[in-house]
Amino acid sequence: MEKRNKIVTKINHERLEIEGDQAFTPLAHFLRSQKGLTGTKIVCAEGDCGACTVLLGRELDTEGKLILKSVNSCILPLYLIDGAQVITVEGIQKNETELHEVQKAMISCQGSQCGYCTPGFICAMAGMVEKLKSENKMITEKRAKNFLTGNLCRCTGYKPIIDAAMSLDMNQVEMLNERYGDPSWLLEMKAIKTQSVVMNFNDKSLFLPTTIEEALQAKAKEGNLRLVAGSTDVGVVVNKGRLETPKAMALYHIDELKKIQHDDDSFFIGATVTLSEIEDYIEKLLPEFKKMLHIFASPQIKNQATLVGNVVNASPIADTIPFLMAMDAKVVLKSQYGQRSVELKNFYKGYKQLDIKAEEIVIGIHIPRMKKNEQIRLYKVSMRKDLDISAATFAGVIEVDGDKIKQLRIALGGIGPIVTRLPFIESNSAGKEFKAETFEAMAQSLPQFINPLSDLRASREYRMILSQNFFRKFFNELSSGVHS
Amino acid sequence: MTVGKNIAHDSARTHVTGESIFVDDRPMLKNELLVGVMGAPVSAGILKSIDFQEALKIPGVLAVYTGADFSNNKWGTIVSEQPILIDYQVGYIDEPICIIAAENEEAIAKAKKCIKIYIDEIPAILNIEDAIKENKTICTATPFIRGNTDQALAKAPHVLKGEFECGGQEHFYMESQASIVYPLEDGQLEIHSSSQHPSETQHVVAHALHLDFSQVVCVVKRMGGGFGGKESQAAHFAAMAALVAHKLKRPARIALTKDDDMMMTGKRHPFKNFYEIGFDQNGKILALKAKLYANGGAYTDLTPSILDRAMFHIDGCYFLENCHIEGIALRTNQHSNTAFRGFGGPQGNMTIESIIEDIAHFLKKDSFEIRKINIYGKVDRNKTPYGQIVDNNILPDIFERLFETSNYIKLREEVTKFNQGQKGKLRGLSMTGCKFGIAFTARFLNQGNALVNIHLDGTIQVSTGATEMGQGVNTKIQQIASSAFGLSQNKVRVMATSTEKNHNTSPTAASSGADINGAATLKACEKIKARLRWIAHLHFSGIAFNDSHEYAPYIEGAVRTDHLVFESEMIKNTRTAQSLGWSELIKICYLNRVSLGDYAFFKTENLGFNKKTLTGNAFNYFTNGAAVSMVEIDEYSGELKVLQTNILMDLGRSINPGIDVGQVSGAFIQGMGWVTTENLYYHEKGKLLSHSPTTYKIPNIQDTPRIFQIDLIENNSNTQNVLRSKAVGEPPLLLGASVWTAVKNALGYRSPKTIPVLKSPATSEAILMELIRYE
Repeated sequence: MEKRNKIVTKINHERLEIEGDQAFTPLAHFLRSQKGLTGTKIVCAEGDCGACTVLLGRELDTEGKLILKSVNSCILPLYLIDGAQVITVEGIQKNETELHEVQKAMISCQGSQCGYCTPGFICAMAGMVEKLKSENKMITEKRAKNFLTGNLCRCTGYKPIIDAAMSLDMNQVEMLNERYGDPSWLLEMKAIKTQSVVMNFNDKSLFLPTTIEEALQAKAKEGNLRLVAGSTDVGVVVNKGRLETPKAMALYHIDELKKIQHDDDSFFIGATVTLSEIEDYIEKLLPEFKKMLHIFASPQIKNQATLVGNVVNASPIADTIPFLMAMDAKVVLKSQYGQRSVELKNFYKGYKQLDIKAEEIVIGIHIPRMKKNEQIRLYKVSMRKDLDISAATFAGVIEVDGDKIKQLRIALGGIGPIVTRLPFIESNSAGKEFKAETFEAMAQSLPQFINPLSDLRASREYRMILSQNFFRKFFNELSSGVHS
Repeated sequence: MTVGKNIAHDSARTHVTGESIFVDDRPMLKNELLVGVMGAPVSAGILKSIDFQEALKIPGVLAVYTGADFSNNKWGTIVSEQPILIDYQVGYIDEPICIIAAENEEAIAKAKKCIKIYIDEIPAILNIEDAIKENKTICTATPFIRGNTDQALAKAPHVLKGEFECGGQEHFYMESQASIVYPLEDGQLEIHSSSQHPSETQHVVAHALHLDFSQVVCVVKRMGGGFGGKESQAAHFAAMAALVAHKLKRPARIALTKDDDMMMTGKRHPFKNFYEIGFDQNGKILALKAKLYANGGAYTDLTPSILDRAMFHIDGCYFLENCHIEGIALRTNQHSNTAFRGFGGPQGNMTIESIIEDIAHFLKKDSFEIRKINIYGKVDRNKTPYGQIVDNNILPDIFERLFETSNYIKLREEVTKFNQGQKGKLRGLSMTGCKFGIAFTARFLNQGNALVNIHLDGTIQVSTGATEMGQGVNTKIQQIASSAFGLSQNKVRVMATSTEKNHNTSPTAASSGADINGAATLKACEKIKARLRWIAHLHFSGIAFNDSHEYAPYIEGAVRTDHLVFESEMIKNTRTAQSLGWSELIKICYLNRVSLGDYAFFKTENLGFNKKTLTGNAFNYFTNGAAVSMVEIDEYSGELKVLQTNILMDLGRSINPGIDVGQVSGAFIQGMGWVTTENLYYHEKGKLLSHSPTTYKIPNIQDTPRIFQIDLIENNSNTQNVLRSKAVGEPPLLLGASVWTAVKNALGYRSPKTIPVLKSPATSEAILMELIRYE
């Protein structure tokens, strides 16, 4: 297969070829400084405010139409938009004189004051319309808030923006994937993804393989190759000057890694499956995890970030890890020399230290399905409920037989250098009575097993009490059948 | 008439299309330079030297400048004491110490890594307690004294002694500080700045570079939010870019990153207020003795005025028969705290609201009862501690009306019942008010000027000193001018603010932008209208004009012309039903050499606060309002949800209800953020660690109250202000406190015997730790 040495993409109606180390430039910078598209704003440069939101179409739906999703362009290097369609705020309006319905709604509801966050909101709201309309769903206040969680506004108090979203008539709203459905580009998009991209310049290199074999070969050859999935973490540390990624490999052109599937026993989630894809897929199958993903991050982040990225990033406060650990999930690793699985609870050796060899790539996560009698609860506490990094997290899976605990699995995050299971408490619980006192005793014993830190998100004391309270809440909710 | 209508923001269309230009959106010129700022590495110390020789060798780096490169390195709105770049003493960590002029950001980043700064570190003062201990003050205010407070406290049936403490607040304007400076011929500079105070920016830049004020023009098209953070603190960053432009004769751009902005700029003042409150068995306040301590940070900035305003607002909406209010501003080794929407008002107001919550808990009464019996009266009990009468007092009506429309009694029953249920969730309810004094307390700032130009096609350009930061002042001015001429709003364009067109302007602050500049605009329009009426009068009288005969010039008062009115794009003679189209009228005026432009000056009348006796009219009028909030706490985590908020505001006769409701909504949520999630977290050595949205949590869309109702009360009595409107920018921020008092109320249900102790912000952690105390 022929290899390309440039990134091919489309921004609004312009097809672009990007060469040289410009491919490392964050999209937002490129738009502002190279294309004069200054509607896209950079505020935090860390994917936390949404001012840089643009729409990104990477995949086509079953009808062959673009699936447009909101993403944070400030942390998205150009090499991640190969074969994709980007729509910026400048590309939302219909023509010189006529605006898109979300723009009209924002004007008439006074949804814009200073105007700095507005382009981001316009794109996020347009993204909401694309998704809801394609699924034949109506706009509710709850949905509107969920789609706009990733956009901060300091002026309006959001009320006029919610009003604007609620005023949209879904029958009248134009779908952007109709307007941006140029068939020749859609065809080219497909072709682009079948070509690997290799770019070498000075001390930097980029590789976008199309097969796992290619990727494994590259990884074997160059151990310190940086794998980038959604760039939601890497993009931030690069922007803040704490990391350089001279040699990067992104796996999003590899079809095999995009798979998410399940059978009676388990789920398998491929390395490049995004969190929002998972959220859609597991909605009915794993409602508790869906709830966790709901407050995990903004739509923009979830549209970029992957589950494997969250696992490999190995943060002690990563929101998905306690769930996966309590579910006895396994990490599936592959190298040229073979494939192996590691129990997630054994995957972390220390702060950001993983059981992974230089030549290996994580190709996916294997998650056993809940047994019929099992119940699960996932808790996350942060300074702000949504779009915030956790102070502490909890995942508890329990099987109760009559009035006795048959099996209990607990994972805690934010209480030490890594997310951990609590084997002593777990094994000790088997056969104990399912009653408040049992869980109170667990809570009381907790200080022996965990060693939380004080930092800007929470004090050590608070984290300790939170962790203990997770046990109390867990019992109370289970015994009363409540989902918080 | 466009006044009174919900007309879209004048920039709404360009905002939603991404066309609106902010400072950093301006295209880079070919030879333009970027300016990077380096901050001090320690909180306190003496600067020994800065070694930047290595930095100068980096390709793309043009220069590194220090404080010594300015002709005058000191600035300050009230006291000229703050260095633009540290020249001797370090005031706070991350304080600007040198700047780098370079062709690109990479060069700046590299340069920062090799600049060496040598400082003799000394111990830093990082909080109010240590500053009190060390007696580090910026200023001590003259106390407000009324009646005999000590005696009244001694006699009072009940006395509570306590302290109220609130944290600072980051402005978090979305657009960080930014300026571009273009060097022009003959040493002139053109500054484009994100500034609430273009005149001060002009003055600070000129002073720093030893230029005449007339050599410097500052233009402000718009800001991506200001909230007070760009009132004084835009100026010195503009001066940094100006130095580069001036020295290197190349355009220079400074655009801080969010992190740098948050670390380098001042915030809302934290306060710690000690008080004794005396009251009777009904909760009627008999005396308040209070001592307010403000953390001013490293430099004076606007602190004395902010302390004043806190003292002016410690009465809240309530009559204090006997009071003794002291205020001290402290100097610490922190960023220099500055104006922030409310300007001390929230810190004062929240103190009394907190006290009232405590009185209610102590007497086992609903706090609404306590508020009701203490509220300012309409005929008596209506004099503030500083002797101003609360005129046209609408506060009792607001409280009563909101009590009914929010269904307060039912909400209270629900909350009480809910809290008797299973442990796990806890609810609270509270109503608080605001009575916000409108006018700069520094009298000289209550002045403004406006320039109105009618062009030959009949379209109008208005220029004033008001700066647009999203609050809609330009839209209101557009409405005032278009209504004055009977035109639709799209005939009027409000131009970028420029010191070239409007001189010696006051900052757009103190909620007064539309009041002062709207009034000046109206005056200028009226001057033009008199001439237009004169010409129309001649025209309607059948007098012809031609090449040889020109209409007689306008003489003020020569003929009465009030029967000539401007409406529906025409001037009409109400006596004869004659009319003349607007564009025809303008053409006739032009041909007859009648001036189609005018300028007017406005100052707020009747401000008579005597700084010696501390009595008199400190304010032009008050903007009033009240809010009821109901909250729910997760007792396992301390997490907070606002279930419902109902707000009732008095905005006089609103010029634009759509814009005003947006101001109320935005201010309330900002106030709510201040008292809940917005926690500034510092390293023990002083560095701000919460310096980006990842770590500093302003409210997001999910934090808005589940039910959020905003209403305006009708009030046509405010003859004190332009078109009987009232200022709106700051007052509703004070109502955010209702969320905090509701939390206090909730805690009270679990602490029936002792008064809950809560600081602001009420973070999840603070709430849970307080709940734990009751177990």
